[in-house]
Amino acid sequence: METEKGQSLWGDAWRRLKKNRLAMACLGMVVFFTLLALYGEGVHQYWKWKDATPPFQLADLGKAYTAPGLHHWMGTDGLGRDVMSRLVQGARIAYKVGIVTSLIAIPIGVFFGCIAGYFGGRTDDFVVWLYSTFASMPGLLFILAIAMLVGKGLLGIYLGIGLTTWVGLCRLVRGEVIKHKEQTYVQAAKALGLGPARIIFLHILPNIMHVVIVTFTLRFPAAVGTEVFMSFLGIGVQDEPSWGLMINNARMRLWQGMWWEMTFVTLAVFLLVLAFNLLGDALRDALDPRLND
Amino acid sequence: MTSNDNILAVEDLGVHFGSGDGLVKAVDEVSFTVRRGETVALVGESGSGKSISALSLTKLAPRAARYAGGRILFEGRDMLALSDAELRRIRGSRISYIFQEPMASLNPVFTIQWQIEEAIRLHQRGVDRKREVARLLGLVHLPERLARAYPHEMSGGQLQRCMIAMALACSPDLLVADEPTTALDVTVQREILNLLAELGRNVGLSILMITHNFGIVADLADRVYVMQKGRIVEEGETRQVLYDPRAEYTRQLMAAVPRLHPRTEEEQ
Repeated sequence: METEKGQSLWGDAWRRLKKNRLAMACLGMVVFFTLLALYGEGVHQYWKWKDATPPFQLADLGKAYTAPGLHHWMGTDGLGRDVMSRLVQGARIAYKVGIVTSLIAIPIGVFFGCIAGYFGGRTDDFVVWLYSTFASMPGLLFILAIAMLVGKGLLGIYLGIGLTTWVGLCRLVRGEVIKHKEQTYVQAAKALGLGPARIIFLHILPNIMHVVIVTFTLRFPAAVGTEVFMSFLGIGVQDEPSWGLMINNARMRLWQGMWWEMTFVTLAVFLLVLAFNLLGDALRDALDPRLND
Repeated sequence: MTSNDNILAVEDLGVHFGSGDGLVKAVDEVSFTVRRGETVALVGESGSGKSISALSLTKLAPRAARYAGGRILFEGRDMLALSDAELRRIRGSRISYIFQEPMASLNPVFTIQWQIEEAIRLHQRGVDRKREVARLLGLVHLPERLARAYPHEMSGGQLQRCMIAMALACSPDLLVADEPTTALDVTVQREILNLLAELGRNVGLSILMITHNFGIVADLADRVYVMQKGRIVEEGETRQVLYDPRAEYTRQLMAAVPRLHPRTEEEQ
């Protein structure tokens, strides 16, 4: 019945999420990685400003392959560089990739999904054709092609991943919009004299925002994974300490017992991906109004 | 009365779906008029074409619909000939709608305040929206504090009042009420109908009431059109239609209204 204070859907979702212990642990992990990445960015900017080679890039062959200890908590790599500070820099790269590719992929997916779902007809045919074409190509091959086209490095990764991973979201948004446009509140908005752009983006989109948010949390780790893989293959990040590069380097001496670099980097990737995925799942449940308790 | 008193005149309107063998004439050469300040009821069973007729007034019928002929004269202008932009200017400001299911008619993620403001924002500039929302809520007898509520926190009757408040936001000339009480409890139905009757009197609103329930017609309407299978089968003053229905279908519809006391021989 009536309540004095309005409780928004988002407030409800947050309440449900808070009750989920696992989700809160994952949220903590995500916050931790975020702070790590921000710290990494700070350090990176500091050395850029000082115009000096940062210590995590400085080779010191005398200290190569030091096992984890007091001075180097996670040991050093084959060039004597501290694994932990490189790991933090790797988190910075991973976040950049996750966020920038999302900024490319999500607006594309949402926009095409919305107009296809709302207008139907020819517009829909075109969008479905477009995403089917994208979806029919092996994703990685396509990413590699784009990366080759714009050159190695972060830009290639951004565009490669960003331009190929909007398909899933587009399909989801299109379906949701089709479902919502038949609802009476959209009819009522039309009857008020609202135009299509306002109805789509101001009235329907907020109702399907949970799809976008969940997709973001699920595609973020996927993008990080792809970046790691591309860098591992040697067409990704070039001279910055990406996790993929670190794994690639660590592989060389793994068989001689230099386990630490490989272990800590894969652990970091694992934890980040796991935390985001579990959080995404929990968000999906929390934001679903049908599960109102 | 002369035809100049007509705020709305629908002439031989046809709305069709499909083509060839699958052609469905949802609305078939339908004509009706609404005078200024008058409440007119369009009565018929589900699928009789009454809702499509109502939605067609501002070309809101589903996309698959084809306007197959006739004219819809609103204040002398043919709505079927207007552009989308011109129609949007009329919707909500001159002709407003309320729908059958108030629970689904409001956007679940916005407060009542925001949604009523949205109705004002579009057609009126330079008004104090906060005060206007308060005035409108007062008009439909809702407490002002409900402005901060979200739709899922309110009852069906309250939501329908909000819909009416939104519909009245720009002081329209014609209110189209498409089965406004069908989804509500009986006691709440009564309140909503009283409210509509009151608004019709006080604000001088013309109301086109779409319903399948003759009980509502008797209370509210000045004149009645009875629709069956896309055609108008009977029309007239409410009194005359109620006491002396000419069409067999009208008699059936009236007999379908549930009653509390068992019927006497005489009545049957």
